[in-house]
Amino acid sequence: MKLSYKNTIIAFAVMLFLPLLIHDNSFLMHILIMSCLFSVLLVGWDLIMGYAGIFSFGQIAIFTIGAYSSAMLSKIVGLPPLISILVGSLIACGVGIIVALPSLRLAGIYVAMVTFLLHEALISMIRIGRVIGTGGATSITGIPPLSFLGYSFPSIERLPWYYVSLTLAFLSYFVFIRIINSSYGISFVALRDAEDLAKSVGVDDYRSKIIVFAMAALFAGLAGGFYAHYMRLVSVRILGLDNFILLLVMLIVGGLGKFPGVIVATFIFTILNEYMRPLEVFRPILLGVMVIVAIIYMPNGIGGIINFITTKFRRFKRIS
Amino acid sequence: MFNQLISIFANGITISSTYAIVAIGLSLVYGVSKTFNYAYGSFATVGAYITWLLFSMFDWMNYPVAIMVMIPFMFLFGIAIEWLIPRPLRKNENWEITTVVATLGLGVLLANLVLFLFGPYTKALPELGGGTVSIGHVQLDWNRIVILILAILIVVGLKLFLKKTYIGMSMRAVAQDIEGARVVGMKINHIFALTFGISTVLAGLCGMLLGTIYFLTPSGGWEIFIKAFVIVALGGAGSIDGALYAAFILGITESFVQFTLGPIWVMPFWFIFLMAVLIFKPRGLLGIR
Amino acid sequence: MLKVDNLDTFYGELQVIRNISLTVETGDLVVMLGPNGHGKSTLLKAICGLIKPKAGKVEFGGEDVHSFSIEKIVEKGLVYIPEDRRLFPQMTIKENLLLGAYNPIARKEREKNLEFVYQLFPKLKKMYARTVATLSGGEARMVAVGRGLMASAKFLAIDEPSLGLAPNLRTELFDKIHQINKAGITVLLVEQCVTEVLDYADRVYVIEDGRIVYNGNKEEVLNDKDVKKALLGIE
Repeated sequence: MKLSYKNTIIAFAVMLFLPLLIHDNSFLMHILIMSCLFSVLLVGWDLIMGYAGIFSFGQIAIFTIGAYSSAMLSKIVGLPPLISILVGSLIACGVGIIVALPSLRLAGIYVAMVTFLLHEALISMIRIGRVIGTGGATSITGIPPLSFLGYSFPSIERLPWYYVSLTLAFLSYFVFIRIINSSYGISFVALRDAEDLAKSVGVDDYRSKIIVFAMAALFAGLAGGFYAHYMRLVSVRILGLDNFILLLVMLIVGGLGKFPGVIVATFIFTILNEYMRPLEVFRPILLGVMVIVAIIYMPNGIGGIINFITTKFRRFKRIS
Repeated sequence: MFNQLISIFANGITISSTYAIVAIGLSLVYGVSKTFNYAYGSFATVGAYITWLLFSMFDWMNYPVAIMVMIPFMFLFGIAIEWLIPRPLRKNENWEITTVVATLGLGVLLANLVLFLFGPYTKALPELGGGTVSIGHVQLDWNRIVILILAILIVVGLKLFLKKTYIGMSMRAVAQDIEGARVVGMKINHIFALTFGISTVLAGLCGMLLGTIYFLTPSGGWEIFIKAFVIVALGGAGSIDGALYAAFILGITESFVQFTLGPIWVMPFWFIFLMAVLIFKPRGLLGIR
Repeated sequence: MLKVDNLDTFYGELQVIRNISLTVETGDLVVMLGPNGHGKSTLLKAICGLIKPKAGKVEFGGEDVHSFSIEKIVEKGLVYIPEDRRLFPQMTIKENLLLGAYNPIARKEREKNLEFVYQLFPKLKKMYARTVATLSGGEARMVAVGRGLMASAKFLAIDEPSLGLAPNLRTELFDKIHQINKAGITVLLVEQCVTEVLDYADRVYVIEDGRIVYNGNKEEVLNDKDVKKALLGIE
């Protein structure tokens, strides 16, 4: 099934004018900015896990590498933030490729584990890296704000940040839709649905998997960079398992390989998560329950429901 | 210096023996049902905290009783989890992926449940045996000697169970050819549940033994799980002997890394080691499949 | 003993079995012949409950096979021996045989059945401690049949036992299967165009393209020149 740009453009238009209603609500704006940034990470995760069938748990680690790289490059080396974000995302992409090259030839559980271990080892590496300015177990603070053509974007000003993150989000959606609709995407769907057949007609999954993994890593790195300059603080808490499970809930409830679903889930759960904060330790417990229940009882997630409704609707239109 | 090396080596061996138990449990479940359980480390945490609870509730508590209580508890716990999560998922097309995601959720859930019930402060289990023994100039803790003995008993007992008993044979049969087992009329689901139960017991025992050396923390299980996985990857998924050798190779190396570079390098060491194994020996040392 | 009624089976979109009906009487040795890839194995699996048919019914001893789990079907004595044997490669011959007696009824009769298997295949008794992975094709085939017998089988459904065997071993194996049949076990045998097997058969079905195209007893086949020529390639 080819994805159309139509719905994405409609959504973009709605999002473009949304601040007219809520620009005074700083909290809500913040949540929307975070949703946009997370959605970049998650759309990439969905692409590699749901479409390319790469069983990766490393997407958050790569996001973190992007965030830390850009934070350190701008704060310590003194690169302008926009440059540091770009370089940081290239570093994140490079790490992604280094991990992908040996592991993507292996069975799924190995990929899952290598990437999970990358995530865990990164926590130690950041602590070890204290001497080179990673902030160790605490955090990097005072990251310079984003500036562009002489205009600087302090985090307090939600509106410009909203448009920056929205632009990034839609840029990434269009790239991912293009990938899914390209020959890569089609060969992935073929591999996913009929692996033997696809292999017999010569679909080279290894090469395309590496390319797509790298693309997802690049965007995760970019999102990480913008996150660092928006928050102006990065800490190893991004790598906490409660955060991991939150993003996993978004991915699973959104529906693996059911494209628009993951974006809807990102927005729902970013908001829900804020309201779950008073629950403290119950929040990760609840998120754990959600992952299990979602995967057992709604394996196609929100994306499955969206697809179901749109096909019904199309059929209905055709009949009438 | 030499004595120091010997004692690092000896510590490495005791740690390795606990890693062997947990890795064998992980490998056993993977070998039999191809299920990969990401909550496995949290099972070890649960086992350790159950032991702590027993000791804090009853003054007269001792390890033989604690073990006798924990084994049936962990076994039933494992069977219940198997029934709740991997079994309904196995009907799905992508059950391998979905099981991993669901058990990861379970792992986070359990770790936070432990955090909620027992609080964030570290806890310690009493030692299995007090004092030290001197062999030459090297001093060894009784605690570690008892751990090693228990670990050997557990591994030998498990191997005998798999080799000699009919039910153990059935488990091996399912691991070797599940289609053949089905044709013979084996109750595959029972064997999956049993294997899961046994592996949960092994995780619990490992958590208990490690708890006599290190402090207990609610999230400590993840490290155990990751190490168990790397051991299984090195030893070859599904191979028990492979896991045994790999546990000792990695455990002893780890204790040298810990001594020379510091404990913070332990996790990066396991990561780099796993990458190296996967590059040079993609199917593990004694890999089956 | 076994009654197949209007069975239809699909493999994805492809219909493999087209409206097949057949019966096997208690104590018979029935042979199902036909070229490769024409649905014989699928039919056998559907009979033994391993594949769910789209339509139709399989009755074993008056009961609907597909209403039971595979464990239960085996326990009732309907035992399938797959073409690719599906033995447990890292275990000994004896362990493989013992695991055949998994169901509760067979477990009680384990010693008796083992005695019967060893008597039938003395070679297996001699090398009981050998690991199955090290066996030759013929030996492994014996273990597979033996493992099936260990389940206290009343009805053995054997899928192409002669596959890959030299002609002399093939005759030997058919002879053993005949002995099994004489001991009172009903046998349904699937084979490609192997003529030796006809000497032992009580009834022959020929399957082509998922349909039964011929059905008769041994004499009828041997006397029917057209059938012999067209289906078995012998004059």
